[in-house]
Amino acid sequence: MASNEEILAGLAEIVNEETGLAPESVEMDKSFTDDLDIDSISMMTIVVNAEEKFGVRIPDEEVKNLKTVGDAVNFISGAQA
Amino acid sequence: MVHAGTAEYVLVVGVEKLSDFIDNADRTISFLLGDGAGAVVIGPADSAGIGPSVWGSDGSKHQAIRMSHSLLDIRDAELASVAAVGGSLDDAPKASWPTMRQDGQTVFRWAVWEMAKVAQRALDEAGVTADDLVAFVPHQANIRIIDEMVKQLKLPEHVEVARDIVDAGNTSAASIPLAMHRMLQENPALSGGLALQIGFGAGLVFGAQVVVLP
Repeated sequence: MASNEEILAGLAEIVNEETGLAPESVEMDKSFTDDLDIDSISMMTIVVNAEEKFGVRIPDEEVKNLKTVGDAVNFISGAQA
Repeated sequence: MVHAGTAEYVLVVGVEKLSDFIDNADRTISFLLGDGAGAVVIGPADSAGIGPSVWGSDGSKHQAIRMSHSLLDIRDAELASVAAVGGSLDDAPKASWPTMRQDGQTVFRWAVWEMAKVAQRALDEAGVTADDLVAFVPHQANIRIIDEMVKQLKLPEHVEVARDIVDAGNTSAASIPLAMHRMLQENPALSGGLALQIGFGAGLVFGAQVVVLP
């Protein structure tokens, strides 16, 4: 079971790999689309890689609710519980 | 059919005119698509040139690519109008033409991660590995799907990847023959080498095979 800090760090690594954004720019209150400029297709790649990394399932219909990095961290944390 | 002896030569045609079925204002799909047609002739040979097909469908995602409504909906709306206000079908107000809709994220996820598995199965069934290929000719759905699929399949650098979508767009059923034709025009030396082909789309349906390039 990963802590929220560990999930955030792991997610930042995935975002960095997909987009080249510096991991430290991936913060809890950042919006994937408005702040990090991540499009819907990159978002799906990030979701699938996060599923693999954290051993959780993030359904397609849930993806649209993950507006901020914090939303994703909390969803992954909840799904791991 | 050729193998079974019921036909000596078979003409296989892929053709699509999706411009009739798109809403130009729908930015989720309209800009991706193009019209096109392509064909191949399949005939007898001393050694097999087409590997086993891996194909199937996933009806649980039938809504992921769909029409907004059907022609029957148009008919029923016009009949209902005639029943309500009288007159003939010719005078009934014309219902709106059906157009394609797509859930892009759902299709993208399925197309990359599920289709990479299908493509790998086609390689396994043909008894070859990615190293044996000279080319990868996937359905030209979307450059992002193609690039991610190449990554998932871990294709070696020497495998030429068809990216005809950059110019032709997604021509649906015509995309593999068009992409293959272009690839052979630009690089005739690939002729006689093995290519992995995979088609997929509305349904959602899929089919993959390894072929010897003509």
